[in-house]
Amino acid sequence: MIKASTPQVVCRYLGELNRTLAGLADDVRQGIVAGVAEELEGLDAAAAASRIESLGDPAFIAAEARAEARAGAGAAPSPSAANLAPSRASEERWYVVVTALLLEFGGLLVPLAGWVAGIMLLWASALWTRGEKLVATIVPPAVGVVLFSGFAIGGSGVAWWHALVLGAIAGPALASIVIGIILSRRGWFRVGEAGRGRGALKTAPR
Amino acid sequence: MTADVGAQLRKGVVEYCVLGLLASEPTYGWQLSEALVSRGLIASIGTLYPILSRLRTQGLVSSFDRQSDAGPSRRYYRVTETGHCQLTIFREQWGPFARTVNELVGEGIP
Repeated sequence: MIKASTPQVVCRYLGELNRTLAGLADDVRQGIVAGVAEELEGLDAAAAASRIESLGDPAFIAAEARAEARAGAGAAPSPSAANLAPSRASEERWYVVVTALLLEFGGLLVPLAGWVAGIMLLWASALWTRGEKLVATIVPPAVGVVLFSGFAIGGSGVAWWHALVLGAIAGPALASIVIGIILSRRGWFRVGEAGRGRGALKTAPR
Repeated sequence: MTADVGAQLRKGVVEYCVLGLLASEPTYGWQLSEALVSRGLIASIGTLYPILSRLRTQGLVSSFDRQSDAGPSRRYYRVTETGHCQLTIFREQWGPFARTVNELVGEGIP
């Protein structure tokens, strides 16, 4: 609690600390600010300045807090994406199924948008590695471009239609189906492994 | 292989070190941070609170406010019953694990 008698150096430091911690979970942000405020409370300006010096730059504290929060959240790329990804095993299995189906057939049901939705779910989850996510995102369009180019270059009317069908539709669709099957198997396996881990160390910290 | 071996090792055990410290006595954030920073387990108080948040979410740690005689009211953290169980499991596993690693990376092995 900031009081009228609180030294300016403390007010400034706590204000800056609070600002630099923006974006972190509320309990983490409030915990840090309250923990530091507790320690500085009742100190005169000189003693507070000395304590603040030992604490360090607010930007450093915030960077450390963000790094630890990210490490604790596994491979979740951002707070908003982390919220999308489920945490319970049963929900995770559904998540794997829905993501895989969207990757495999989403683009056929709702052209492009369905596949994009699957890619977004894929990137929002920590069940798959960054490499797998990149492959799923890049390979289908790349297959389309390669096939289309191969058939279209120097082709006549019929060859151009083949290029369009194979390059723009069949090639990417086939690549997406294969990738979706592989990633769904891996995701399903990882959910099972995580479930067994939770069973052995039921509430083990990550 | 990662270059920062120390960071990788700390990542695996720092939460149990927090539980271990809190198991000996309820402690407030700054005091906990000082104990961990001085031992090189965390870099700053900024590292501590995300860990405490996770431990609270998992039900391993709880907090309470305590008014001190001379100083300000502080938020203290203590280990819950589940946290004590978790710490016991870790202690049972840590001894054999550390011995095995020592055997494998000991000085006598090229």
